[in-house]
Amino acid sequence: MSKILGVIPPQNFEIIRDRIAMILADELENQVLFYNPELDANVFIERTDPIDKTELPALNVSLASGSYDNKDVSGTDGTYTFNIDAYTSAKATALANADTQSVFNLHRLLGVCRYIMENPIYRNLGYSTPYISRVTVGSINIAEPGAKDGLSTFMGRLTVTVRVVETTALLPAVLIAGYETAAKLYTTEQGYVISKSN
Amino acid sequence: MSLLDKIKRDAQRILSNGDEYAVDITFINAELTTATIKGLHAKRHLPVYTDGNPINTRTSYISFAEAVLSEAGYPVRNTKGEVSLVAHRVNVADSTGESKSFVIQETYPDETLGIIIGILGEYE
Repeated sequence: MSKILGVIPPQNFEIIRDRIAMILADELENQVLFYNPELDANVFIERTDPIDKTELPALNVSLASGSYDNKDVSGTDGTYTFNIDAYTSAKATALANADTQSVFNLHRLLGVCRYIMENPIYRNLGYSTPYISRVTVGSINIAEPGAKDGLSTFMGRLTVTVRVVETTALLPAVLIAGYETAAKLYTTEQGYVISKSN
Repeated sequence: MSLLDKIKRDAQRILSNGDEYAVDITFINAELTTATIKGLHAKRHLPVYTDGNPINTRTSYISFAEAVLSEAGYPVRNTKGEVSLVAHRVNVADSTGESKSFVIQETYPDETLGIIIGILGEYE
């Protein structure tokens, strides 16, 4: 029989994962509309199916790992790493080779994502303090391209680390039935002493 | 005729026979020299495995007899005598019948049989 009554809420890493994707989608849409039409990327969350060439450029936000410290009875500090994977492709033109253009597009897309995630306005991912204590972009990596690809597909990864407190509901302290002992706790030079006397 | 010469002749005939598998392939170089010859063309699905998701993309290639392209007056080799077709434009129709433009990204010349395979990248 279950002991935890009520709905267990989403953990913060689930909320943050979706939040990162929403921020990127919002900001990229604005960039496309007013400044950079080439940044018109599809944003996915935790996509594992293969991505089709017709869906590029694309971003995929996923949870990579998490670790916990500063644990107490009601919670712990979680440090989560999220991957922002970017995918681009290009066709050759009279002005540029496809591979070079695709890499340039990838660098541009990853650079814009880094700029968004490091922007002070998103230092708490839009949540009020102290919900999130830190958001940092940790690294950028470019994968080896595939061979004989007619569309020069490239992939790169931005890792974003978010530190946030994860909590759990405390158990209510209920005395065991029939427990009626009255005692006092005293601090002495020998340490704590439980006594019924004054 | 030696056996090797017969093989070369047969290979060129297979690659260039428009009544069998060969299609029209048009080559265009930077000086806008153009030649249309018969050769084989394939365009198919290609999975590209990255550090993240696989990408479903596609690959295209052509194969043709070097002698046929040379006879059409198209410069196949550079002044050092090497096959030099990288970055040349290629127009060829796919299964839709519509002509598509490509650039040659890589060449794999078989200098025993006189056959060249060109790996194509798509061109806007």
